[in-house]
Amino acid sequence: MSSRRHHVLGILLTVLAGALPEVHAATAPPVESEFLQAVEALRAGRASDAQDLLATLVRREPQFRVAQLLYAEVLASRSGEKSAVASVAPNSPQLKELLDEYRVRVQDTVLQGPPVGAVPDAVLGLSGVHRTAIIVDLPRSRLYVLATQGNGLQLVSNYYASIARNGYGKSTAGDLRTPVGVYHATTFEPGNVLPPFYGSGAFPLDYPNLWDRMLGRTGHGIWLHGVPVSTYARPPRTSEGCVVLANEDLLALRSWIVPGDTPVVFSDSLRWTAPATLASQRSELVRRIDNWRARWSERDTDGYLGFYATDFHSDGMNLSQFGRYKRAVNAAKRRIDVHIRDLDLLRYPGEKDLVLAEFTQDYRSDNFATVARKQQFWQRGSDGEWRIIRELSRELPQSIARN
Amino acid sequence: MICRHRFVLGILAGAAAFGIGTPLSALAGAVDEAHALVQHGDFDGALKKLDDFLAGSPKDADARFERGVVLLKLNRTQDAIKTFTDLAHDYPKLPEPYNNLAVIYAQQGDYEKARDQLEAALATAPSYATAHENLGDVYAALASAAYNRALMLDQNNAGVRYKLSLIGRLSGGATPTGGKEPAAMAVASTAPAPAPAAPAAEPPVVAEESFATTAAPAPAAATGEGDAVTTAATALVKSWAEAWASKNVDGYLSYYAADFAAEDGLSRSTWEQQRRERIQRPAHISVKVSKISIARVDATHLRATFSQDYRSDITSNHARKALDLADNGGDLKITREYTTR
Repeated sequence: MSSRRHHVLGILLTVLAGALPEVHAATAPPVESEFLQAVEALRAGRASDAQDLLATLVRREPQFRVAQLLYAEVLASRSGEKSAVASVAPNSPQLKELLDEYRVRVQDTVLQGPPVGAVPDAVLGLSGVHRTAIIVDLPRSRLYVLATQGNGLQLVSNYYASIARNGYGKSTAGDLRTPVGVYHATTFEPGNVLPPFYGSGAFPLDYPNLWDRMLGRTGHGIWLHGVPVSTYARPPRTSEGCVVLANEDLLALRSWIVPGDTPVVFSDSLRWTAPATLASQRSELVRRIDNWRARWSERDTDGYLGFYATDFHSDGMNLSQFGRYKRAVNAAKRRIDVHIRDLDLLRYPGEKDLVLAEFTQDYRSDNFATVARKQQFWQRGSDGEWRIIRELSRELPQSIARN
Repeated sequence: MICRHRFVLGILAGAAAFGIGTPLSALAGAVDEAHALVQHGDFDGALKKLDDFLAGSPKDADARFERGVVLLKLNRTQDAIKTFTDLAHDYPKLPEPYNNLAVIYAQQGDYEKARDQLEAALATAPSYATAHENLGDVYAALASAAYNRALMLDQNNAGVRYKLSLIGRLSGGATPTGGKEPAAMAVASTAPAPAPAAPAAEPPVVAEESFATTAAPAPAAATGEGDAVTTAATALVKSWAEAWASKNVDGYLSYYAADFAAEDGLSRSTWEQQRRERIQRPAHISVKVSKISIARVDATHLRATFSQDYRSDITSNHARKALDLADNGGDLKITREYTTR
């Protein structure tokens, strides 16, 4: 290739420095996998293979515009023409968006993606046999699906995901940012009941959650959703707050997201680590939660209250009001029996030393029995001890609770 | 049966000589006559001559090919497609029918089909220069379309229209020649050692007309008188090749006579524009000429034949070329340029 030609292809290829990690290719969806194979072929000097791969790809997904751009560049270099891009101003917004998407798909993901066997440090533990978690790496525009399979948590798939125009860290309505936190889908809306803008469908999320409301954050309408049919994907920073996926990818999530149940983690600083490194913190918290449960079951109200932070609030009550309430309730009972199951432990993103515990709580006393799904925010204080700073219970219908 | 009459070549050589004031020999072949009519713009006349000839020799590949070209000039595109397709079917080793099919498909905007045809052409003749150049254009068109899709630009706003080069005649190479001695261009003037100086010729972008045999029947064994002329002609070939390789388009064009006619009938201005684009497009060009030999065709015309080795960052190919030169007592100018096989 002539050095005197302005060549987007050159730009595209210098973005890469290392080899494509295998785990990424193995868990990316087919369309993106093929695209990355074409990129790899180009870097290896196999322009003809790259051309064939791209020709097949754009025939199948003509709206995949980054692939069309790369294809155009490969064809242009075979024709000997100056770069096909040369006739457009280098700072054309459409071109810039495509280059951003290209960079995110290839560099950010490929070079900094997870090593084999690593898990995101956001997930301390997931309960159950077939439990999944959705983790979105907001700075890198990538959504990961993790599932408990056989011998532990594994990366199942990953997808390119667009986020908000102004990035992440939502705090106010209209700030055009994606929130940072742990959320749940409230439901799944199929595409045919939504405006075409949302593509194949949407999972509305429960922003603002308990933590957001504690911090006074405003805004609403944060969804996971698809794209209009006229395009395959959108630029990395594009939405008003939502996380946007290609239509076939959004539909694939239906196998993994249980509304109201599956944690959806939006992280601003995701790190990958070996599962073993999380074990000690997990067992520390599991023990702590179990001790809290035990104090409660033994109606040791003072001991129980010792697990709550001084700035704890719940249902409009501060700690001392909460304490008086609990003493009164416990005193009226002869027997309390609390069991915990289906515990998820998540390091809360965007915060230091904050862990979200979500579990199903079976409470039985001499005159009362409920099952509830509980959210507890545990914060480590200056004395190094974990204490509950916020909690919320959602009572479950008995017929669902017993399974 | 393809008849080749070398002396007809002598008559046809020189752009000014197409039948004007020069009676065609009674022995001139029908296809040659038809070709002359095409060059002259009389497509209906050419078609009639070919149809008459084909009535008696329906399988004649040369005539069929020429007929396809004429049909295309008459805008009878579907008929032209059928003609070339049948010819490709009957003679799968000829590159020319594939090339011309590519030209038609490109005209229709179907660059993918055009590419397939050109790759078929190159499969039969890997260094066929016209097909290479056309393929470059096809890739440029495909790139442009992909780029439009990437940036969601208006597809109809095509910007550059890519017109491929049509081939005007079949070469004698792959078909039974009624012809005589194969290109023993030798003749006359000892070609001065072709120090394959720098730049050589670019692949004849212009549709080549190739004739297996060449040289006038009795090539004037250039004796002494030829020496000065021979030297001049040889020098012209080298300078022309050098201008080409150094991408000096104006200098390159200055070697062509005012009445130079491109083999595929492109107008002078279109041909010049095409040459300009194609010479400027590569980053660097190398053109080596060798085995130059000069022959006198008649009192005012010479023919230079030589081997041409072309390389650029896009493509490379090798061909046996001929330049017909007119000698008007001062400057030598190129009146025809074509590939011989």
